[in-house]
Amino acid sequence: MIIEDHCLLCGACVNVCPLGALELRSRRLMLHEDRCFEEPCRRWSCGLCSMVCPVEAIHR
Amino acid sequence: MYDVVVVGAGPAGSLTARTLAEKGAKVLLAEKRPEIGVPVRCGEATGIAGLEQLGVKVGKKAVRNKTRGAVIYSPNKTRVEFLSEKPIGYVLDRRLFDKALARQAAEAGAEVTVDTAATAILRRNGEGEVIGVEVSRGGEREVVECSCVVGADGVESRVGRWAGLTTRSPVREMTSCVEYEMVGVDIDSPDVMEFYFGSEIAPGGYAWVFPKGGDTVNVGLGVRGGEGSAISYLREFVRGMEGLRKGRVTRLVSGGVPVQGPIEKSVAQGIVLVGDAARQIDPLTGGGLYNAMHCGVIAGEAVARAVEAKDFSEEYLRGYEKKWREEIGITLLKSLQLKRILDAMSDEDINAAARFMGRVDLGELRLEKGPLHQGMALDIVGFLQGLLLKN
Ligand SMILES: Cc1cc2nc3c(=O)[nH]c(=O)nc-3n(C[C@H](O)[C@H](O)[C@H](O)COP(=O)(O)OP(=O)(O)OC[C@H]3O[C@@H](n4cnc5c(N)ncnc54)[C@H](O)[C@@H]3O)c2cc1C
Ligand code: SF4
Ligand code: SF4
Repeated sequence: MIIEDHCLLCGACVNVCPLGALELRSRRLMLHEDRCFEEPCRRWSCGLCSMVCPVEAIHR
Repeated sequence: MYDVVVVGAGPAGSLTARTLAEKGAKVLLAEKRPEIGVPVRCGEATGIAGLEQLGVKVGKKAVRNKTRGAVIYSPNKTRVEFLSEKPIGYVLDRRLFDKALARQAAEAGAEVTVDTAATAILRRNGEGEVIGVEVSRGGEREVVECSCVVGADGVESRVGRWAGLTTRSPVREMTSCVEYEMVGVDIDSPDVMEFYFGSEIAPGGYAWVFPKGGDTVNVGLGVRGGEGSAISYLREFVRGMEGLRKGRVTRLVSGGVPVQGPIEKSVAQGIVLVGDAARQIDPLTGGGLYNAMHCGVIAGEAVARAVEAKDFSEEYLRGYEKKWREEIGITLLKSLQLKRILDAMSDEDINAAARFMGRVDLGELRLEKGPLHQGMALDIVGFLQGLLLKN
């Protein structure tokens, strides 16, 4: 979940995401869910993005 | 009412809970996932000596393969061997391994519960001593009373954040990792781990291939910085390896390894952090299993003393902090040093170092003495330092 109002568009999460699931495009942070959620259980992903976000704008 | 709630049933949490229960403390081991050990987030390699030293029994089924050491490839594919005659490492099945550890904790007398996520720490009047943990068990909110909380909740440690002991990781200190389990591959040696370095293979990290028996491997890599995501590097790596290219992916793992070294303070009033939560993971190799278990035992012993003394003050719990720094602090420092050196080395430098190391008889004794990752890291540090001094 991305809280757009908090997001600084700093790109930290984009850089750290191992699966290339986050993208900054036209001043918006986008999550490609199909890349993020691990098969087969789709319930957890790694959470690296939320670990590096300076303002807790991204949660899993 | 428990003496201690251990949050997270990974290797650190299970060893802490087991040790506490053995010493007579009343313990709850709470795991947020519905199944312990799943999903796996690990390369699953560890040293045999380390497990033996900790008295951790590993059932046959949890061992996928035995290894005789490692071969390191520099960017221009110069080989450096760290091999022994006898098996010195395991490639584990961490689903079964983690479950077995939790079971050992239960058999020692700890209560184990899954689908139970810690959501807050409760303190007397909001700031005094710890009086319990708020959990969400099967979706229902509950309060579990206890006098002490052990945060064994991994890299993402919430317990650490609640206690003000951990903060967000700077991106440059977080290695971003992906790994495939692949079947149907060809490998050179069925009992040797391979490591590949190079700015084009895995900038700021390395790639690994761990044989899991038969035609199965764990192949993964970690990167810091670089042009694309870790998975784009992994795809490229697999494409470039003849024996891997034709394999099929049966599992995808992603995760992070913090490489800034251990946290500054691992205890607070009524709180102890252990394992990845305390960043006790080796910042050079990314090996964290052994340290997590080793420190779990130390934490269990220290907290059991606190239970007996009914003293959970930060002061008293500092005994844990002192002990684990004595035991693994130097190794972590050495690894941190080498990581810095490696960060500063160009591909050319690494090729030169590999050429140099290839000419030296490393001897297998060092390897067999310590846990695999530790022994290797110390050897490499020693030789690189020697190299730097020579030049
Ligand atoms: C891709 C990758 C490859 C690796 N390869 C290796 C390797 O080959 N060899 C090696 O030695 N190390 C390796 N490591 C490191 C190793 O996996 C970790 O160091 C090790 O798992 C740490 O154990 P731990 O018990 O501290 O944490 P974890 O194993 O992460 O366990 C933490 C547990 O806490 C639970 N938890 C989290 N929050 C809560 C909560 N709020 N309430 C309840 N439970 C919670 C989690 O679900 C989890 O089960 C690798 C890491 C990665 C990412
Ligand atoms: S949870 Fe992991 S894979 Fe998913 S977007 Fe965040 S960093 Fe990427
Ligand atoms: S790290 Fe946080 S603030 Fe930065 S782009 Fe990602 S969500 Fe936004």
